[in-house]
Amino acid sequence: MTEAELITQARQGDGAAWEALLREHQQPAFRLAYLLLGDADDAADTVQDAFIRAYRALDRFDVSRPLRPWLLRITSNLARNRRRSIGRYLNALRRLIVAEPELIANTRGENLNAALRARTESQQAAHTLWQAVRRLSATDQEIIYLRYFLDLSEAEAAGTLEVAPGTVKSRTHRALARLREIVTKEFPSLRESLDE
Amino acid sequence: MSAELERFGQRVRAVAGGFPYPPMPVIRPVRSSRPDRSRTQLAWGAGIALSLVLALLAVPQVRAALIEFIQIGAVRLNLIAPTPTLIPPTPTGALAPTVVPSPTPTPLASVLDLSGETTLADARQRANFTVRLPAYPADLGEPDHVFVQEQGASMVVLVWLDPDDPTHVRMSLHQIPRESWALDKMGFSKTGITKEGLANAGLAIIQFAAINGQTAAWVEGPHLLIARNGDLEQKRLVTGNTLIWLAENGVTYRLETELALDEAVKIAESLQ
Repeated sequence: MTEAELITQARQGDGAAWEALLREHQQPAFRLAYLLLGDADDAADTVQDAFIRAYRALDRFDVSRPLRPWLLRITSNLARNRRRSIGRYLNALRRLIVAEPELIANTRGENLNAALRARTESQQAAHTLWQAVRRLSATDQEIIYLRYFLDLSEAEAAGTLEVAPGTVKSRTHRALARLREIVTKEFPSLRESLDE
Repeated sequence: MSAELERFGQRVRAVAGGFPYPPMPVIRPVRSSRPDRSRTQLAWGAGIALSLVLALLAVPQVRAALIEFIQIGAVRLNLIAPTPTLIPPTPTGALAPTVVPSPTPTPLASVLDLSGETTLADARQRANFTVRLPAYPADLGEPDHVFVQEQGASMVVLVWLDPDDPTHVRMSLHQIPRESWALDKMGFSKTGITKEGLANAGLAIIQFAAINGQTAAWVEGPHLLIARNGDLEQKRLVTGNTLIWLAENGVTYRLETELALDEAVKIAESLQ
């Protein structure tokens, strides 16, 4: 069954059709929310909220367009709102204290180092890359996440950001150039991975 | 894009492919209501926002920053200065010159945070007046959310979402019968700053318009919406544009939108 057919059925109240769409798109939505928020619980809440809002607005969705960019746009907007909220920081702090009491207590960060050592080298490089991306502006971050972390096409990224494909090209160019500058100046260890 | 930057992009993609995403929690296929956890967080957020506004209003200097109010039908608008304002000392010298913190950066409660969500049919049944819908723009359709709040009589709030971005409210329309809201009775005297001075400073702009012959107020910029019913008081800081008018049927309408005045008037005049 095509995506358009599933959407049509979901509009008519078919729960199974909506669940199929959710299964198809929830992983990229969750990943984008996690990259933007840095917290799995917050990301899950955001995706849940995004899908509820999408379901409510489904009647107005143009079925001739792909669903994923629209869902990612809703997710991204909600994540941005959540990032600004006071509650998120309080919740993140509470979870950190509950989940990592010894990490908080250990001022020398030995536990953190141990956790980092447990990651594979490629995971560590990707994590460091994420830290570098987070030094960019929100607009630059978003285009890097869509094009390089989620591997979206230019057309999909354009649909998500509601901009022309040409704008995606120029934003990508600008964001990559800035990222390279940041990596060069502040993340020398990452430079080796990116120069290979 | 230069070949060198393109190669850099390819390496970024390859490295990003190894990102250690956490396991994805189970996303429940909820279709009609929000998850409890989000609702709790939302309630806490709204509570914090309301507390901050109330705390700010408890400060005499901030109260004084509410420089003027305009009453149209059942709604009173309190215009506020959104930037720090220097308050001169009182004649008794009790207050030293103080920079007044503006309430503008306070987290805002959305119109979607209202309680009492229901269907349009139910709202029509409960309201003691005819609930009207705009016929303009032609593609608007029925509201995405309908709220009814019992405050002496039923106040109806209709909300339309942006079809391209359902996280964004396209416009909301309050329909408030005469008996519904008892308004804020706090008396705020002028501080000597005039409405014209405020408008010249670009802090808030208000002008008057006519909706089917009835006077309407148009507000751009931040203002505080206050309603009181017995001990219950509601405050919401509004940053969008708002058109308020009292119609011939005794119902006060309050249209909150990002549209310009002429478009808002067209919508208002199309109510039927």
